[in-house]
Amino acid sequence: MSDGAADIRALASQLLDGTISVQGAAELSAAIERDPEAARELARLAMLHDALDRQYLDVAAGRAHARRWAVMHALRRVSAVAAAVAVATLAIWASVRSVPSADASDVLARIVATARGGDRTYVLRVDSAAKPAGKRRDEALPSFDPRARDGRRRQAPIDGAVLTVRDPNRYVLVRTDDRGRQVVSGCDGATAWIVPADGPVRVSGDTRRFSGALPGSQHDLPFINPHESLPDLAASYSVVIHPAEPAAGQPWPRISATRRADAKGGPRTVEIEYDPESGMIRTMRLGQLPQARGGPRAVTFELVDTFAVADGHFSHRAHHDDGRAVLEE
Amino acid sequence: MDPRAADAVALWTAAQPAVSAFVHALVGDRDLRDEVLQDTVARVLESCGSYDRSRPFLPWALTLARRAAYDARRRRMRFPAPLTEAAQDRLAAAIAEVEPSERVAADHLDACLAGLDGRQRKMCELRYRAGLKPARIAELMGLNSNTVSKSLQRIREALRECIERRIRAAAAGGGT
Repeated sequence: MSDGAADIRALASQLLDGTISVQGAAELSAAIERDPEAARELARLAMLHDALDRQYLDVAAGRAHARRWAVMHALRRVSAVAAAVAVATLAIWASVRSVPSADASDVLARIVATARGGDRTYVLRVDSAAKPAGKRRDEALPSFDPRARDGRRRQAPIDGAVLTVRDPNRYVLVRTDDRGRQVVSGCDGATAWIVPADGPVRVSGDTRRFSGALPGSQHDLPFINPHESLPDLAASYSVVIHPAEPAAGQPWPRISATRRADAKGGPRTVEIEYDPESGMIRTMRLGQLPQARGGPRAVTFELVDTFAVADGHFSHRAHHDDGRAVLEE
Repeated sequence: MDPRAADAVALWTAAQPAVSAFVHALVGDRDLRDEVLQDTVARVLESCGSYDRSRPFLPWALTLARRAAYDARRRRMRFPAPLTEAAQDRLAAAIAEVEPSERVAADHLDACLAGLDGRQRKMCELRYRAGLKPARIAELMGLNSNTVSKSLQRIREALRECIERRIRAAAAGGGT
């Protein structure tokens, strides 16, 4: 293997541990492509990793045991006094059904502080219970698009859309129109773009351009990066934190926020389920979204993946043929 | 059972560790890897009639696994894979190349694991039995996440060196 062998080993190790960055994955791919020994190194490491997995996972019960052991291990780490305090705190926490708003900002700050960066992919679901009877609002001609009012363009629905986000200000939203064709919009951090089902690709230096399809964005809500919006919740919403209740089918702690009477714009309610260990938002439901400018009444963002995507994924070029016309606005 | 299917099952059993290692490198997640492996074995059984027995089984199975991984990523809307297509080609070839020697290496893993110190064994338990990621292991062990990542890398390197030492010793007829 050529020079940088130690780097390749480190990157290969990160790949198998699921901690490799997009840049690291690109470097590892390039090394494997140009150097067969680098490919063999990853192959050997992957096989060792797999052998270790099998060695430790003879039976499924083993994993459950080890998880319990991990918890016990964590408890053993604290001193007897600290453990007593921890148990007392847990008992108090368990006895309280919810945490009032006064403490909620601390919880939100903690989530933001522990939130991991990296790429996150969400599926957007329009809440069927919130859809008005008859014509579906998310499928209706959105009133904020004047071409739609004229009946010349029907916006692709966001129900079932896939949203991939990366800090700062990078996202890709993939929707499918009523003829089954993909409409992709996004921003690479500097340029916003949309690849419609047909016609030219449009790009703009205004990074907010083409984000109208994203629920919340037309109401000046920065939901492209949900974690960034959390501090705003405490400012404009009455927030209550509910602990996880696995027995009741609620495996994650939940933030329930209701917009204050004096706050303007945004959804009336926001509900967030989050992983207390990683700070990762698992689901986010925006309820009673303002309807003056169209769009759905309620939308849920459901986390489906935290795997890193390639840097190029946030460029419009990754989503259309090279020969497609591109119009700059 | 159809003799061809029975034959395919036997070949799959031998190839499965290498295919599993390949899939893990493609999807980077244990649960998704297992899902892809299930799909792959189904594809192997469905396609065993078209398998050309004059050619090696493992590259054929790796091709099916790669398609299964691709489909799984699409189903779960995970795109694109961390490795480029060309890198996946190279990795598949490398897996097929090193598989025979790595099969032997697995025989020495037990003995080499016994040589790890307490902290290293604990880290392996948390990583491989509990399936925890380095960040979580770091929290449990009161360490920095980067330290855990590097320690895991060093542990695997130490195991590799131990295994190679034992293979060399066995080849020399000295045992270990």
